[in-house]
Amino acid sequence: MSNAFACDNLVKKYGRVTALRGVTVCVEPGVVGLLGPNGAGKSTLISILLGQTPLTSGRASVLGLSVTKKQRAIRRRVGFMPENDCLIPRFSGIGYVHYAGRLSGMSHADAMQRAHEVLDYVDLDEARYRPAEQYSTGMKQRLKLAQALVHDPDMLFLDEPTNGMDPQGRQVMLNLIQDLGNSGISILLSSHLLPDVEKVCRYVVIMGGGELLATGEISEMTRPHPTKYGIEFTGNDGVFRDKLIERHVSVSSQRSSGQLDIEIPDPNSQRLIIEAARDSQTNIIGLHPQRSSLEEGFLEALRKQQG
Amino acid sequence: MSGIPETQQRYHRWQRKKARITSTWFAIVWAGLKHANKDSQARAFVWMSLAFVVGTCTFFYGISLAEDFFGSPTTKDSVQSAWWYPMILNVLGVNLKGVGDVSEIRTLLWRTTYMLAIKVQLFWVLLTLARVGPGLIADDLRARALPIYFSRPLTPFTYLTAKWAIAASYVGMLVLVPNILSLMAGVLITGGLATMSQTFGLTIDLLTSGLGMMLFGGLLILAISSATPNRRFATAGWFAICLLPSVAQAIVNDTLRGEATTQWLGAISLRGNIMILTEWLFDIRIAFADSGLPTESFERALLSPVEPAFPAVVLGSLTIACALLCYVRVVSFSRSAASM
Repeated sequence: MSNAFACDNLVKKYGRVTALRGVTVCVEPGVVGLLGPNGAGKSTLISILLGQTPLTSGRASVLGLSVTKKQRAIRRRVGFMPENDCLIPRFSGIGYVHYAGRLSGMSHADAMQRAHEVLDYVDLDEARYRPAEQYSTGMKQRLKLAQALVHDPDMLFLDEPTNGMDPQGRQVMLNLIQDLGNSGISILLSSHLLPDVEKVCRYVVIMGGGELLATGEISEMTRPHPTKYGIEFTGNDGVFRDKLIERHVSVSSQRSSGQLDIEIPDPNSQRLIIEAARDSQTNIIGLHPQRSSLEEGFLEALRKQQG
Repeated sequence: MSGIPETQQRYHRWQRKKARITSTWFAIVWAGLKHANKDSQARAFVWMSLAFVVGTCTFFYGISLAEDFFGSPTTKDSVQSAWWYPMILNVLGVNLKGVGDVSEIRTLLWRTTYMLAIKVQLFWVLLTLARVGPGLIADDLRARALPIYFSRPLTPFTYLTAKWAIAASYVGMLVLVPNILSLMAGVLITGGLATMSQTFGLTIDLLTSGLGMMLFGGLLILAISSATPNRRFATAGWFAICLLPSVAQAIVNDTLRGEATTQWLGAISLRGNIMILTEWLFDIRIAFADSGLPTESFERALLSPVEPAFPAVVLGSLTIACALLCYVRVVSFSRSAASM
């Protein structure tokens, strides 16, 4: 099976400004998160992968097709959900998705049938007959997803799909993305919202300042921390805390009575916790290794770049 | 899957055969025409263009009656001896002494009719394109909808030609269709292959003028529409570009009346340029010469000869500039990642 997309020493310059500086990445099919602060080069990367923006040097391919030689073939096989509203004025929901299907080369009948299918899928019922300009933010986002799906692409580029949505709408959108990923469509999800990426993506690409900062499986990035633990206990909080500190165990936070977040000096010194509990006559109920969050991984990657 | 109703369908891949990619151009044109047709004023302008068909047909019918009428020597003599006959000729500025048969000057009359019709149709085009044209690209720019187009197998050229076709269709419906329809009706009314052979050149000239206006008018409004995301500014720009030079031309003509410089300064306005080219195309002086009538008889009715080179260069350059402007704007916008 070919890669979802691959870049080899990709450089993009806009005049004197370098938007991408030698990005090299190879991503397997699946749901992939694209993270980075503003100006990181995410939109430029998507634009290049869609064949819209010519690259300055390097190579890139989507679904095994070169972005410089097979632009139209790529666009037949991918769907794009832009960040902006992109709603063409005076269209109803169904008219808009039907038009998107026609623009993808579908016949009138096929585009209409498929438009109804995808609007059912994104749960836009009778609202599909209303002018799209009257839709709520959540409905607009789902409509944009529908237009990206109408021609049944093999890969989706989603640019901030949960932007401006309320928590329930966001949940619905994430569920849809998850389901699309499960149905075999590769997805590149560009988002500022790390919990969203963490929830639906298998793999993540982190960019900053036009460079690739980190890539990897999310499960790898959020693996258990070897020296950080959360402890649940019964006993005197203050005494237990003092005994831990005496043994050079740092207490990072106390979440509530009977719960502490700690960091031991090295990965093999868990006995210090047991000793502190024994000396303070505290019963330990639970000891859980803490997992690094994606946010920590993201911030660390940025710090490394700046440092 | 909290938040999604239990009846929520799972995603199904599209089982049907993937379609051909040939229909995208027509899809854009069809959608554009459908949307433009929702504008009641634009619709009214198109319907009113039928007035040209009715008007010219009525005139042609009148001429055919006159042909029959003057065909009879008794009637001809009685009309020529009537008190109002010299008065009418004086008003028209012609002397029909040399005319043996009205059919001899048919081409001349038809050409003059169409030339006058095009003068009025130009104004119609100005108003109609002001309704349907400014939003063609401006609306897409404002809505940042270009990524919807260019994330699909569609080139900027296809997009632009489709958008041009929408504007050009309206120009065609206002100029080309009524003129060709009325010409066909005129040929049917006056009857016979003789009329058809007489008006063959006129048909070509009507097609040329109509297609020329479609090309130029469509590209001009498209260029203005691509220059701004605000359709109101585009509308104002359209009127300004079409009307202000006419005002400037009037001022120049008034100031430099009689001086040699008015020859080219007089063609500042777009309308002026188009009319000069139309007069050149429908040259009734040639039609008149072909009719064999004495020139002095129609001296007042005939227009002074025109020089088409300068207007052709102006309109040609403007057409090319408009096409380039549209293309550069759309391409640069579609390639900009910021537009996404």
